[in-house]
Amino acid sequence: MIDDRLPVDRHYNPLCSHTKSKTHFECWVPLIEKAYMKLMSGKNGYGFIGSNSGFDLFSLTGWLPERVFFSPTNNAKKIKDHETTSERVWERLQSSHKFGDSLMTAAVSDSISDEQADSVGLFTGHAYAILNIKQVSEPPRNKWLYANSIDVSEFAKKNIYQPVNALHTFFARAGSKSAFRANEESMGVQTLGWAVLVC
Amino acid sequence: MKNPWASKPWVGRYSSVDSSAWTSELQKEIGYDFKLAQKSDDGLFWICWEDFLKFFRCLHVNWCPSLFKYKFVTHACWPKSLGPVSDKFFVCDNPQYYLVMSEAALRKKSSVWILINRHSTENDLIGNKTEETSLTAHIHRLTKEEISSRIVYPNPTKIINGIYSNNPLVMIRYDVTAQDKHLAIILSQYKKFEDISYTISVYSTDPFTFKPAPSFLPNNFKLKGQFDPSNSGGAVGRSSSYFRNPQYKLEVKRDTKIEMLMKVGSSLSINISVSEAVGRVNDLSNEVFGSGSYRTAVGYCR
Repeated sequence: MIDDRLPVDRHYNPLCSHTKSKTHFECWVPLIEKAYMKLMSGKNGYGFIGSNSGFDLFSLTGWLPERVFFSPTNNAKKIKDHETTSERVWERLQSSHKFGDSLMTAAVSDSISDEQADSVGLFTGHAYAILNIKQVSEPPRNKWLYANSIDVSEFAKKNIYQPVNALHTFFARAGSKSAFRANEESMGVQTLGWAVLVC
Repeated sequence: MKNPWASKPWVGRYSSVDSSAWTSELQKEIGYDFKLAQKSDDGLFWICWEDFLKFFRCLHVNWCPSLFKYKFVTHACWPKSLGPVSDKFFVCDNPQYYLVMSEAALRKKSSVWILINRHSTENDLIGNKTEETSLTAHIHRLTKEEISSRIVYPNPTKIINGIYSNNPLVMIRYDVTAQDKHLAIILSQYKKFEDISYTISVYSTDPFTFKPAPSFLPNNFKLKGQFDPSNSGGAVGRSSSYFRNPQYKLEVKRDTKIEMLMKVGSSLSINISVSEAVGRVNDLSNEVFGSGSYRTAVGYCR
């Protein structure tokens, strides 16, 4: 049993889940959230034990929660027993998305500092929904990088916030189309794999 | 991805502020309008896989339950008073369930998903707990004979070791193999300190039966004894005074099933041996059955 009072800030903006529809306010959203918090958490607020997007979605929808732990590396020696390789996770994500009957969410890594997360617009301990997944072809400039055995991920690390610009600059400096062609001829067509975008 | 706050999106690579990433070809391929995205912040953004791996750690995928045609749900309670605080030595008091897979499931190597949802308690809500329940479930593989009785020993038949967690939800995914006709699910707590109640749900794409493991045989007799200097005879084969160990007489009137379980309150290694005899047993030439190897704190035979 809950009442219909909801928390707001001093400008009367709701401080709880709500819809932003301009045409009609769907009041069930904050009410369900309030009831769920009351049932699950009592005085503990949002930080109740076991709360994560998978569990909460299960509680609210009955959809079966699978938790996939993954390592940021594909280095077999560094992957722990309960972890899935990132390649396998990507395959699973794609097939789940294709299949359709699943809801995907992901939480920001807790090994990222608040400042680090903030600088890219993310929040630690916060869960995001994955709505769409696409695998796209990589522009030719990166094929060139691959053919020359430059580790793009290492390269990206050093330029983490502006890597695309950095790649442009690097390519402009390193050469021209002829460099790319030369490689294509000597090594055959190389693929970096793909630039993978997750929305 | 979407930030559920519907604002404050990612601003790294391939975000709505990374103009160099969004070539017109890419926008077309993805179906993304970069100019439009810049105008309003709805918390939606694209992120590339490498960055996802860098910044996100755990992925949750919730599956529509109707993907599984076969489902079984039951609810139960595990009182604090049932069994020892830790089940390190024996699991016969733990909740046990037997899962029998159909021939179709074995043939198709079906997936079985087992979900244990611990119900929240008053203590959870008050939020002043000093200890937390840490629950999991282990999977054992049994023979057809073994499913006529409970499992006593924690290890010999175990194939999957569950991970203890204070999460109210325990989820186990298992792909059955041809050897997995008879499986057991044994609930386990790291350190039992309160009554818990739970819902256990089993899902599979092919038929199965799921039921609580049988109890021990119904007519039982319990007695307490103790090892003292007069009757501590030592281990069989290693001590000449073995036959000084406590002996009990069991009179059997007709063919019957018998189970014997011995527990000691310390980490003593024990076993049980049953011999046909008149009076005290002085040699093992008429041994009928026994619990076999010495084990810490528990011995069981049938």
